[in-house]
Amino acid sequence: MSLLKIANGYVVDPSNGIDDVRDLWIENGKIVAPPNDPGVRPDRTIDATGDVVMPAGVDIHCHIAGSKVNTARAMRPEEVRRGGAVNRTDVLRSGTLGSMPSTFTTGAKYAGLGYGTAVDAAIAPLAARQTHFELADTPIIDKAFLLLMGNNHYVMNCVRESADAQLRSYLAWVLNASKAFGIKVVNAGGVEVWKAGKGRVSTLDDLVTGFDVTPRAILTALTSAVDDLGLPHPVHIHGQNLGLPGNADSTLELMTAIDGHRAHLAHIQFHSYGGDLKTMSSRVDVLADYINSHDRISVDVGQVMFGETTSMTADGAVGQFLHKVTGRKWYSHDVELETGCGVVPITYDNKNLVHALQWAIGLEWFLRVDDPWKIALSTDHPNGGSFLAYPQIIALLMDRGLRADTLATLPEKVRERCPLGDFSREYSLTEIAIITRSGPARLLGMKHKGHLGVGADADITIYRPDADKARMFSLPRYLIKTGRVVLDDGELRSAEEGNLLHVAPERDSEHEQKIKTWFNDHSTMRFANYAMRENEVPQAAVVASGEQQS
Amino acid sequence: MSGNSILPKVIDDATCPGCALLCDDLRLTIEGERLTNVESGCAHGRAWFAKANIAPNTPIRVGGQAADLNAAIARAAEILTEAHAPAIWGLAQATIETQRVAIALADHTGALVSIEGQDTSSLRAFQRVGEISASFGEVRDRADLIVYDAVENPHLPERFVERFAMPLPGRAIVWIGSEEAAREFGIEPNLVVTPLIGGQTSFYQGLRAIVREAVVDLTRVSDACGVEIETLTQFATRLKEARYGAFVRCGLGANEVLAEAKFKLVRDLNSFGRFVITHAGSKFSNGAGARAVLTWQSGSAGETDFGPGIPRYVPCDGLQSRLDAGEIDALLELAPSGQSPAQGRSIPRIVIRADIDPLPDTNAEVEIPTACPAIDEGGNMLRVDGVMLPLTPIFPGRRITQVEVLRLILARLQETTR
Repeated sequence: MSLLKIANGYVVDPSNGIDDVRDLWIENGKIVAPPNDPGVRPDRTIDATGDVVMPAGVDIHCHIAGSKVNTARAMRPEEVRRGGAVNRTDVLRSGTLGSMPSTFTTGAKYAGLGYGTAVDAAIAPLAARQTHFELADTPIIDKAFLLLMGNNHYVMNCVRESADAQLRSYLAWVLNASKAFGIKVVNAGGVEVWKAGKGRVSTLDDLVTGFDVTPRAILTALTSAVDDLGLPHPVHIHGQNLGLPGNADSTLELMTAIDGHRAHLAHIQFHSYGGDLKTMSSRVDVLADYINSHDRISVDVGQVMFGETTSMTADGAVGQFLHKVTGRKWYSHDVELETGCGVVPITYDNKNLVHALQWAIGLEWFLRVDDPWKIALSTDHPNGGSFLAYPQIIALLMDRGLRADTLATLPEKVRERCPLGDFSREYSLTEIAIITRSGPARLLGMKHKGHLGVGADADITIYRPDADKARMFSLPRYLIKTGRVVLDDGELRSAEEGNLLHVAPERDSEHEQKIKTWFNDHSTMRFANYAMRENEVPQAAVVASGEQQS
Repeated sequence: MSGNSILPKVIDDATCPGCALLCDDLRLTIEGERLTNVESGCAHGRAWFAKANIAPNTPIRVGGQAADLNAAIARAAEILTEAHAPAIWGLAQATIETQRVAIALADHTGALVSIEGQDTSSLRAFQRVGEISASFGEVRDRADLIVYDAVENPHLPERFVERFAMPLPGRAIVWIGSEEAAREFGIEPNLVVTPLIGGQTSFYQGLRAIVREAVVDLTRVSDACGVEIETLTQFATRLKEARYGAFVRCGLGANEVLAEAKFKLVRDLNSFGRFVITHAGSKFSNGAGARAVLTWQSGSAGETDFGPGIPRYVPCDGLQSRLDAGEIDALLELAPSGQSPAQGRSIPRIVIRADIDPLPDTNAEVEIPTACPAIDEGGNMLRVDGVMLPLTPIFPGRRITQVEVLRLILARLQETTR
């Protein structure tokens, strides 16, 4: 492969402590050391004089594929049409926008923002096969997905029996079978209770009907098992009582319950509320204090942005709640033995007190967490808003005046119930680089992503500095993906398929026989047809776990 | 798998593409070049696999004359290149892999895409109100009430009850339709409710009103749907008392308003217990897959026009109306039946079909018979409840597959435009 040089750029690479002008050399899709021979001439030099050079963005939590996302696309033709379309070109298939862009458009738009990797955070194992097809049609970026395990019947059986080794074997098997990247827990046990028509669980010690386990037991067992397997990314947790006023108490209880384990709490904004329906307020202070004082736990925000979007979650009860609150159409689907889901359109209105509070509470999170390595930028795409809103969020974080101006347009009670206006902190370019690429890559355990050291994937974004930070981060000049210049002075030059990143923890053939027996007794599909077959995911690339990492 | 083995070979857990249920528990025995036994399949599935031994090997034809593959690909590409408004139709019995390339071809040529047998009434109703659904395993394991919706032209795949809805202690069965139809499908319901065919919308809207305790003139509802008031109220009570109810649709949606009435009733029953609506499936083994692929690639779930250079959902201006208006000037068909929406029209047709049955001359300008899914073509299909299943071909590589043909046409077109 040809030798590429990015010359004279202002390199922001927080993982390697670099914040200065220098050159980068790229060969065979990787960052390489500058050649010792001064006579070596690169095949191409990109003059980045005056430009900012960062690792490509890494989205730690989004929903871009799978049956839930795809059904949402099908359900909302009115939004798809309003969102506009992307024309077919010589390098890119046509597609549509809206809050759930079609697959080719999703890949191109992430690339257009300077992102190189995105992780879908909620895939039922039973939907993994479809997800792989969708991700194969999502070009340019590398992709990965997390498996929903918090309401899985086999998992809950293992938890009830305290069968730790069996649980580890099951997770290893299902991750290999699905070619997935990690483990996600959505409202542990709560989805199962709701599907069984038994209402909802709201505390960690409620009993999961039919399984005689508690959410606390499920969470602690899964966090332990993931630690024991040495998966690169810790358990990725969607807590209880999402979106409900007063839920901060249960969020804090959750944090305490998993103390000592590695854990990532997703879209924390939606779990940070005090008060009740009439007095809802921010409780970020107490939760952020916990994050600031504990090292093995991280969060992404799930920032809400005003406008039209689509709520989608494996937490089926949340879908029903939103349908009742908004009166809008509702899709819900129960997935046997594994999980549920709910999809409801939602419009975040800046004159709506709850929505305005959610916007403010998200930003408060960014400003209260001292160490940016512990917090990642997300909108929980598309739940809080589209990933296409990331540049606007970056601008809000870098410009307290912009925040104040926006806050002033919101209902007065927002300022009474959320102290966002008290924060003067402004993010630096380095901090932005941390929360959008270096930090997420580190939290995901993707050692080859999110930095520009020798040996890293050559996923690089070059921005032209601009006082308008939203414009700057909306329009990168270049995206180099795995060493290829994809975005070339603003023009999309190619849209080849990126990699599918997954883990392959060591399997246990003895336990797999038990899994096979159980599976064939309980599933409506046969065990033999569950796992992805050899060569079905040609772009699969393994990220090491456990002892494989050494 | 070697076709020359002396000892019989067995494929366990083979997936049957005979209908949308995609039963994946078949056992196939192969001796030499012959499939000699099919276990677990229904009569329809056994008939599908029986075709493995009688593949017709219809010749490739161009202009009605036998031709080689290269000539057929060249002529197909020429037709699509010259067309101003091509269309691609069928897809519902093709693999996911074939469907992906077919939509790519539509994007490249600016074609209208139309899925054979698509229930557009239900799609539009879904787009208005949503849908509460479940995979079949949830119905099998949880349902204490199963309601079969079987008023008009009911269709219930032979193995549906055996696999997903066995009678159980504590499970009540309600049949909405005629008693004769219930007997025909081997259902022994606890309750039969028989609304008038033309009164179904009133029936479901009335039930919903009763369930919601809305003010409603029950006499008018009863008169409109032909069901006694007492039966209506008893049935509504039974629906509300279900812990986990499953409403199983046996057939296509007759119209959008009726489909919407059913979706809304099921949705609102979730205020009491859990209630879902599912579809028992049709003969189109991968109609769900076609819709899914079209949706993820284009953002549109129904008839979609790529003519403007972008995908445009055209629910009210689809293939049939454009054919009637003379606006379609080439048609690529992907359907094994050989039936064509453009039969008898003077537009060039390209027929790429799984060569399952001997067919009379299709009168297509280009006809390319191909391998059949699960017989000599692998790939994947999407069960009607959203579970994707892989196919295990019995005789892989025996004949060219549909996806290979489409890739060749697309490559030829890309060469032309390069």
